[in-house]
Amino acid sequence: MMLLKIEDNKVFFRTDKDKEFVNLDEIGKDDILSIFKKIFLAKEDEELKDFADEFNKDLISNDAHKIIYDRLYNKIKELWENRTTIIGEIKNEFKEAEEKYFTK
Amino acid sequence: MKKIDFHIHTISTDKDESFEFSIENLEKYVSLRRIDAIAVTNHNVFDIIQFNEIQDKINAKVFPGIEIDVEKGHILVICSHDKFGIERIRLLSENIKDKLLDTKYISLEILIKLCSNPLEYLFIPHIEGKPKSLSLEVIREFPEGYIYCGEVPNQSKFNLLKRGKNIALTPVLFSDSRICNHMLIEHFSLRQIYLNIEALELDTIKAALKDRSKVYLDIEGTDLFDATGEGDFIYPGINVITGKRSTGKTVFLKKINSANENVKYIRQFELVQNQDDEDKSIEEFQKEVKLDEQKFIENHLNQFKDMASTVALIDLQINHNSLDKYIDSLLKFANDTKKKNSYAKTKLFNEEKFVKLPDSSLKSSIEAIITLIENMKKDVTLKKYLSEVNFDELLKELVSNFRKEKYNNKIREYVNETLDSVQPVLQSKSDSPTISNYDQLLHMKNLLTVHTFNKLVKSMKESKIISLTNIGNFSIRVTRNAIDSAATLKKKIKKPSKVTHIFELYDKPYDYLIKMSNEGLANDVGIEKAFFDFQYDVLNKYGNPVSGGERSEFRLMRALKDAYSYQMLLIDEPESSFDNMFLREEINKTIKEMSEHLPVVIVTHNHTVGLSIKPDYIFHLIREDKPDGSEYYIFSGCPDAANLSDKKGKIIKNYTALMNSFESGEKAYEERKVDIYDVVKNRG
Repeated sequence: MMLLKIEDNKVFFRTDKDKEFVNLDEIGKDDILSIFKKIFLAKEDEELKDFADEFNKDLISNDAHKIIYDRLYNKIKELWENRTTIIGEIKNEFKEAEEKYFTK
Repeated sequence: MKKIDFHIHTISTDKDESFEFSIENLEKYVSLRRIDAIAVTNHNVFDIIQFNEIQDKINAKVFPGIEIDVEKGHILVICSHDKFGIERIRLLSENIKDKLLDTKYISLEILIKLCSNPLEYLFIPHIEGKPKSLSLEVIREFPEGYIYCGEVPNQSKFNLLKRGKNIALTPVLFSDSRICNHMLIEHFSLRQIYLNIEALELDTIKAALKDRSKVYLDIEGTDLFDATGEGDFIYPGINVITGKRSTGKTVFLKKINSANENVKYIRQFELVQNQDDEDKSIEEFQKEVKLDEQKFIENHLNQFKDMASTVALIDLQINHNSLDKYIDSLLKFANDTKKKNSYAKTKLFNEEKFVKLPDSSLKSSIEAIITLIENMKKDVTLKKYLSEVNFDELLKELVSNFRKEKYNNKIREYVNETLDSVQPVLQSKSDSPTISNYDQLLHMKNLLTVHTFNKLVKSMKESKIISLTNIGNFSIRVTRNAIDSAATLKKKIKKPSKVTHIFELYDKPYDYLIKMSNEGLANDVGIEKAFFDFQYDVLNKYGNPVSGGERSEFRLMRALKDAYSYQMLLIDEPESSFDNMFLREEINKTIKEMSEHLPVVIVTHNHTVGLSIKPDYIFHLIREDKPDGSEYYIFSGCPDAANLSDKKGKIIKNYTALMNSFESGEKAYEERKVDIYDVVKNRG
């Protein structure tokens, strides 16, 4: 599910597959939150490039987009790489209680 | 009669103060105190090599034993002195060593299991207020017939138990000494007991310990015990020493003091204040009471202290400044909208970050539910009321919510980090003004906290009695007040410099607190103490402030209350502390009650005081001046006996002793005919 794409020297985003792509100028914190959540919960057979085009400064002429997408893509990459560890950490909380008390 | 001491330490463990064992001193101790049998009872260990050496060298029967940490107390376990008994104790010490690695004590159940045939052992628990005593409930958990005696802390408790009608345990009194190399002969314990037996075998000893009438404090089988190590026998109850001035009463008391451990000694005039300056003595008295109540005040102010420390960290000025800056920047931004360039036009340019939410209560709820599930396994009541609750599902849902919350927070953190990295670059490229950050939530929270603090301090400044405790006929009243002046504050915070400028803010608690913190005054005395003043009043039974004489009486009551944690109480001339020659009824009652817990010795040069306290045993001291020096005599006996005798068998009439005590002789006695004298006179 493509959420961030580079097209016509600009960057566009959407928060769900049913939605239209919007100019990156319009992206706010709630949009970033939705995108991060989707990426975070990616299926095992999915890859990062299925969600976002890789940052390439030569393909973007809008300077504001260049600045935003450079950092945004980096953060997405970091999230992608760490997501298994983070999920593991969260699931580890009260793991003992889960094993001991939860009815199977 | 055989004298035994079945509680002796020869190894320094982590339960003792460090000491080095001396077998020479053990030899001296056993010989000087003429002991026939001892038991070596170290804390949770038995060293067979050291034990064999002691058995070889000591001229007495030596029994092997251990003092074991059981649940809620200590118990001595002793076996026969032959090779079988020694092996039993060695094995027991090996077995408990493993168990004690996991827990700090051995349960009674396991102890019984480890002693394969418990009838081969002698069990002596600490009882009746000896440190680490086992309660009767715990002792009853032992199978019947295994425990029939208990080690008491002092001679009075021994006496009480021996004469008691209901208590089934035979009392025993042992030295509990650490035999070390720097021990002086004067320090050798006087705490041993006599058993009316012939053979020193464990079975005979056990049989004697099952029968209270076979256990004594002295060889004569009377109820007296040696209090000085020189044959000065006193009664395990109230003893009164009388005699004219300079007959050696205080010297005798000091001798008893130095020959015994853990003695509460109230010296002559210790309780009297300088009566010349009434104001000064009241102030001093208040100080003493204040010192006693210090802990209570600290507890009282604990929560306030925590709150004040939190509030002291709040800087409302910074919050205000941040709000001003925010509004300025907002106005500026609105005016400049038209000038925006492509950077400023992006939404992220001024996007505010996600507010960090405070931790919810989910984690503590989950932990509480887990504790509840665990406790339900042991607690019938919990089970009764909660067995219907589906804890599994409840826990599952809470854990799931908790994880969701964690997950959301983590993603929000990532978003905020993105904003942190994007915004400064966008803003640096643009000429447009940026909107400054302002944490509204934090500001509101701080305002509310400060408001609550101000309200709390205001209500706490209203005068209130916060404690009223009784000691005998007296009560101690503690009142919390507002601080009335800068001078009082100065005194409280012990600062030589002026505090008027701080005290001006006293009616604005938050400002006052911040001022105190900024000037570094709060750390020295504790911030909480600078807010309130406490008044301590001691009231008599009519609710009025105590007079000078009553203050001394109160001090004696307080000293007596303190004496409960000691093994013996000595009081030197209590009447010197009082206006009234007769000790008050209340104090007599208290001393009488105390004598059931520990032996009491009172010195008085006033026989009236001595008799009004109804002693169990009396001493009368006489000095005879001769050309070649003075001779001192110590006569003693029961108060209602016709005669008193000294160690060499010299006898005087009790009535003569009484008359001798009156400084103005028989005339004064005739003037004050009181019933108690007549009892003695008729005997005489």
